Amino acid sequence: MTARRRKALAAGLATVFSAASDCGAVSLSQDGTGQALIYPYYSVQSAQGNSFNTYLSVVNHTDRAKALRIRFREGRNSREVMSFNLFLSPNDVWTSAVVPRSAGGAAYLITADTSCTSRGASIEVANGGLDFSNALYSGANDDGSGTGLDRTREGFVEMIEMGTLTGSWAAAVTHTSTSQPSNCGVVQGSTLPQVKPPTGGLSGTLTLINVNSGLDFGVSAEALADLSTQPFYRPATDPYPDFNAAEIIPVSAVAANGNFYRSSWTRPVDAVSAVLMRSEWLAEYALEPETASLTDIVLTFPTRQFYTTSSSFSPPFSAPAGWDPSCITNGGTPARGEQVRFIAYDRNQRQETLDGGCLFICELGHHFNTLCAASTAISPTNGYPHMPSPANPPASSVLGAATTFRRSIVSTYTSGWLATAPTASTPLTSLPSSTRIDILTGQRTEGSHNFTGLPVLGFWARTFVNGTLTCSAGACQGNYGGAFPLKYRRAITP
Amino acid sequence: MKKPVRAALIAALACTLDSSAVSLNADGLGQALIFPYYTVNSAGGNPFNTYLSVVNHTADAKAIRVRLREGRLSKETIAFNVFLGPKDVWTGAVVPFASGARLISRDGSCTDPAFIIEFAPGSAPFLDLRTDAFTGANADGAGTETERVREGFVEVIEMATLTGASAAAVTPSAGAANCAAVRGNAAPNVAAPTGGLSGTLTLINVASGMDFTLNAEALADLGTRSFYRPATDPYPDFAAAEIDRVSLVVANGKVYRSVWGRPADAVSAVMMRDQWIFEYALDAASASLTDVVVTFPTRHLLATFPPAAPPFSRPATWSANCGGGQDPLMGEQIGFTYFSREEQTAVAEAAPDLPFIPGPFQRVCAAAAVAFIRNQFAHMPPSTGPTAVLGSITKGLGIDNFFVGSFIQNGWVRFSTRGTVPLTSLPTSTLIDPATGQVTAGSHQFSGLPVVGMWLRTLENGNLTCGGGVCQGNYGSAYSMRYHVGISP
Repeated sequence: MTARRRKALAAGLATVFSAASDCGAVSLSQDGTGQALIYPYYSVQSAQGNSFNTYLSVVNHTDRAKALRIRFREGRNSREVMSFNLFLSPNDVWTSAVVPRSAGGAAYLITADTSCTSRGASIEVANGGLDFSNALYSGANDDGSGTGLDRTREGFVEMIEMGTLTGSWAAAVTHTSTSQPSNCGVVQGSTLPQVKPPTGGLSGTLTLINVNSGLDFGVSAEALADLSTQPFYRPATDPYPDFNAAEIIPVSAVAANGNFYRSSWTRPVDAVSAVLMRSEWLAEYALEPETASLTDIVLTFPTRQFYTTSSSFSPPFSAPAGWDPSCITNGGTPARGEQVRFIAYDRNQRQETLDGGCLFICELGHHFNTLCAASTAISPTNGYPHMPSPANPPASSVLGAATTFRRSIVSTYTSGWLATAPTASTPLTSLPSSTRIDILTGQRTEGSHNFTGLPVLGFWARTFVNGTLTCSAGACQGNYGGAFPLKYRRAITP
Repeated sequence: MKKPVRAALIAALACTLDSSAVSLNADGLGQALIFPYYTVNSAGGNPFNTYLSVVNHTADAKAIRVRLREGRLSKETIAFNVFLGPKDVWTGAVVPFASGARLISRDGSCTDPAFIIEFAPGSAPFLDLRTDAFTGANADGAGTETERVREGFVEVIEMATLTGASAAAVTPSAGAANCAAVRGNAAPNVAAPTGGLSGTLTLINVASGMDFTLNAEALADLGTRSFYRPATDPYPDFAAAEIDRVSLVVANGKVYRSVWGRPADAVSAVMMRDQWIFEYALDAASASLTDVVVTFPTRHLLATFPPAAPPFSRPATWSANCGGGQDPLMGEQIGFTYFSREEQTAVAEAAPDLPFIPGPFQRVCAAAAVAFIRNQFAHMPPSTGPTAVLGSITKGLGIDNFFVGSFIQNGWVRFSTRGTVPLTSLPTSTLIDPATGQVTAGSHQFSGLPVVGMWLRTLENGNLTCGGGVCQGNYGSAYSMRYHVGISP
């Protein structure tokens, strides 16, 4: 082959590869399975004196072995507190629990599952589990949002499929008839990985359980489909990959408002953010005195750390990141966090806008509605006596979240719904090579898309209290907890 | 594709009669809602209540039809109109009453008919669930007992937005709404529906200390024409002529815009799934139990008795145990594959379903079918009785619930449809490749059945300290089913 022919062939292959590498598009899965999962919250905080545990499950619904990066991020500033590689055999399930080590101390992870991990047997219950770490936000990594281990007690979880396993690696993680993987040492060692592109088919569940209060809250993990067509396996010692990995296709697919938006982006993380961009976040609330009901609304920005530092920010975020209990610095100006407007509606069509703004000029110490944490639990409160007293340090009503935003709504509103909308965010704008298809006409139009809002996901958690009951076992707890994913509006132009 | 052909296709798209396309809304808002289950049955000796909420997130006043259907053959047990003001909420609760059930509501929204007020201590305004649709001249062979109304599913359809005096009547600036102005009004001021509805479902067992929660499934862009009817008119349902006969599904990296002969096919298409996937937990240590609910919200519109009609391969019939698997005409055959958490697998589906050679096939034989997953641990309830978590007596899913081996305690299950007939759209349907813009005309074949579902899991704990005494902790959660969508080409 001549040099020219070799060059031409290489160029041709590069073109083909380029076309193939972004022929898909990141999307939210409507069917609950995908290549990546986001669990909007984990917690071992205490509410009413009793601590939460968080149960996680991830299921591989395919007949291929897979390597996943599991990453726990604390809720104030998304700093990693635990990560490792998990190797799922075909049709495998991995389950684990995040539990508190001691009051106010670090959270730690335990499992009774036998699937291979890069952490070996140290996560197993019998070996005491693995403590979450403050290494990435203390010492040289101090980000000004606190350095204590208490910060590990709540946050969110991401799981990313790095590839499917083949050959000896697939064989090593595949369970034998004794329900044990064949040889975890193969994937924990230094042998060259045998990995092919990810294929998706993962689903997950999240259960926040307060054993002593008799409450549990269950929601499904959000599933992202079609992130990549290339393997991006790394040993667990490598912080790569995350949602900005180069192998993630920088294209998003969103169907909204009569259009199908196929948006091209400079960075992979923008594609991930785009599918989570929502302009209005909708939750119901119940604060009724008859049932002593309470509500928390959890809002998580799973990609905020790619757009913000403690001193800078870029669209769609409008302020630097960072957290302190009051979220107010610099003499009353909200220097950190995202400003939002709440509109509270009761069930009888009354409404109140709670924008937290100032009429002419803000007094010193004025509190805006500002969300400073990566994961925030908003606790709407009314004027009824069963509202928990403001805690010091702060704790949300239902989940005991420290990264909380307690917001009094109209004192007589006992139930209804709450619309939250960011007021200062800047649209996330895709590249001009983006296209949109009018679903009605099939017309395809090229040009940038502006996604308004912020990349968010969340749920609302509601409790009822009914005292001690008589049940078949004698006495039972009459506490009830339910969780519902948020509803959203999207605003994409044109 | 050559430009003239593509232009012609685009023109064809633009010229379709219908102007919107039904889709499932991932953000939870829509013109119609499906609540996959309601129940007032008892489990563990304690009855369930079902709480429903519907939120109008828009600035439009709306007229919606709320309809409860029993779970055997989808027969209507109660239907009424609700008039929501802008940003309004309606809530109701289905509770046991005598051997049947009633819907109670203290909500201030106008309804037609009005909920009945009894002047008795603690009484809430109510409407009793009715048996008319399956008794007397309407007997359908699936039982005439009142208990039949105690479980099923719920559909909510926005018929129209209200305008003018009708909107003002249900939008009080102060005090109560003027419900008389809209109740029984055959011709209120209406305009096209605009969507923006969401809903929540709570199955609560008060005395057992458990509740199970889920969002309603939201269907967007059903239609662009008003189809308001007074509550006395059984119209509209998911076969209403005003529902656009076009569905929109994004799958396999493609956009399927499918054109149908009937509105019910468009609604069904967006729920067509050929694998239904869920987890289970049956751990002895936590005495955990798992029920699974599989609901076909449009089965009564597609399959009757007889005949069957695609995608259903059997007439719409009911049997609590699917006739023991001995009747080849009974229910849809499903494959049942289960996995433990450590990948131990078994395929428990049966041999091909040959005509007149009945075998022990797994089947689904109800409109809202329920089963529990079981092993042989001591905390399992009898397989012949009501289901473990929900106490379902309709059941109709599987011959003998679903056995996952003696000692497997947790894992996941895949139900796969078997023998169903693809739902095939009209040749004027179009397939759009978003990456290239290529538009291809031709029919689409949707595999599986139109289904929504969930799984429910309980945990029990031993003795806890509460209220100064000792009590038991019971815990319940529900999770949406996962699915596989199979569409060709």
